[in-house]
Amino acid sequence: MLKFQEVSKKYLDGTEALKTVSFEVPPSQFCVILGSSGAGKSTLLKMVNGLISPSTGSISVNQIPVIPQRIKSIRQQVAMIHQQFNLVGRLSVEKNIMTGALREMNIIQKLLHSFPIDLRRRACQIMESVGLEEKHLNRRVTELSGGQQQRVGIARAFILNPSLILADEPVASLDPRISRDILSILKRSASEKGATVLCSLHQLDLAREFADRIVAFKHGQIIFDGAPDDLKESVIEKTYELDDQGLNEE
Amino acid sequence: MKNNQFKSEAKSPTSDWRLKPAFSYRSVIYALLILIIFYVTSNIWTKQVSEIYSKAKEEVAEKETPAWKHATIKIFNSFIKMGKEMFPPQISESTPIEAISEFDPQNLPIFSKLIDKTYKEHELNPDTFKMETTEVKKQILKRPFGYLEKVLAKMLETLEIALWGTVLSVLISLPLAYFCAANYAPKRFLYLAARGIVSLIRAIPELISALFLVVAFGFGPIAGILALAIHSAGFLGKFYAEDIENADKGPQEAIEATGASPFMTLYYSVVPQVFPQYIAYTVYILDRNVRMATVMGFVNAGGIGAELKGRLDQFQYSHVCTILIVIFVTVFALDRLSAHFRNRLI
Repeated sequence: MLKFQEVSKKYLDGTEALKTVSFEVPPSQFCVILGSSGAGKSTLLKMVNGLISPSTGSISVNQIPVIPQRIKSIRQQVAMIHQQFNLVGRLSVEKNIMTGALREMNIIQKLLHSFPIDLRRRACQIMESVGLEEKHLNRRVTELSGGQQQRVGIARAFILNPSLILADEPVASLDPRISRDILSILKRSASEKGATVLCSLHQLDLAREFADRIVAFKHGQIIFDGAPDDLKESVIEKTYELDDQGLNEE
Repeated sequence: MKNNQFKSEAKSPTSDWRLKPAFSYRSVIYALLILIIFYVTSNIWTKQVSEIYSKAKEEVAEKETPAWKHATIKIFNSFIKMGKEMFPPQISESTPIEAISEFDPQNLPIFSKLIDKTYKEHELNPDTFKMETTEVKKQILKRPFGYLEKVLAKMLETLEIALWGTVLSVLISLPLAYFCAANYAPKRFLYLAARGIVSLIRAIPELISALFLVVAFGFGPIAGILALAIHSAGFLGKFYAEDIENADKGPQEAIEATGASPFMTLYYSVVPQVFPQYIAYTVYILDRNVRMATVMGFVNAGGIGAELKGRLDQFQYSHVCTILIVIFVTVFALDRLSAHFRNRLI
């Protein structure tokens, strides 16, 4: 269970990314966050694993509060998938996936890149489940296509069976067909492992197709929270409406 | 949105938009400042040029040759004289056998031979108090490649000094770089201290620190190795740290999010990114250290420099030529080798 309680975030430059946001995501739900650029989606996701701290309010994952003292145990349960994949370009596919499991290794294994065989086998299984083949195992990630790189990102996220997956616009830089594939893989992997997914998206059609629930944001506030079928055109127009502030930002 | 666009167009039509001029008054001031700096500092060489010219003027006072022509010819003549003395380079070496300890005529070095040579020696006769010339016959061991072998052995020592200097500098600069990187230094004061150390050791030239180290360790390569290591660590520490600071933040964020420690985040996300640059810097420093190690001998800190200085002091330009050729060939070969090595690694 992921819980946000009156969470606000104001950056040092005065930008208010989130304004007293409260909602809960029950286990095994695929929850999509909708919103235009600057609506606070990335800030919200990064606050869950402690990459950004909230200015006020509290967040908890499975009753563990997201505070600096508990960040280690939070990150053991939460994995993240990034918009730009954020893979390490010069490392192989296998090593990139193994970076998701560093906390399970001792210092010698980590320093020598000598990963335990059980973790390596698990990486192979996950690779297969996300549609990557054996031939990709030792290739540098930079040699892969965008879609394949995001599959590596998903495999890295799932290597230690997290209970919560944060996906920050995971298909933003991919074409519609690959985007659909990636979201299918994400949804399937999450449901197989019983993981909760909090995924920010721009594509309405994909959100309607994959989400169990949609939460729409506007200027750091929730303007819709409900089932995909309940998402009305008026809400969509309001979500993506470009106003004075948006124009100035652009 | 459209309303706003129309509003802004109404306020200021494109014909009224202020376009930035190619040169601002500031760029003109900067250009003038640079010219002034050049003019003021040019004193350092113009003074010497005028001295050469006035000396040449005195020398040609009674001739028809213009002073500038005389000065130019004089400079060229000096080069030509030096060039003539340099060639052919000294390859062989002749040593009187009494100067060789434990000389064994049955076991001569390869390609060498013994020759008899008559020398004229001037001696003061203690009875007459007059200088007398006597002819002395001496056996000489002539080694056709003797001097080249000696220079090559010295060059090998120079390479060893450069190599060890570079290895030590890498070992010093890697931990320093971690503390010098603003985004990884654990504490602000550690960052400032590390930056201070890096600036300090970079500011002391190798030859100066070698002078002090020779006092501490005595004549020999240890002073040379340490002097090179300390100075290069200053450069590498700065270069390595700046690469860490400029590395792509995306992979770092991703690995931090997995729960990895800051050191492991650096090791897995930054090190692979900066590795090719680190190789390039280290190879450059090795190349530079080879060149610097050749002059370490000037202050008796080992290597080929002592031989070079000795021959220069005795105006033995043919020997100097051999040394310079060996240095050039070594540096060129190392450059090709390092380029090949770097390409393979990257």
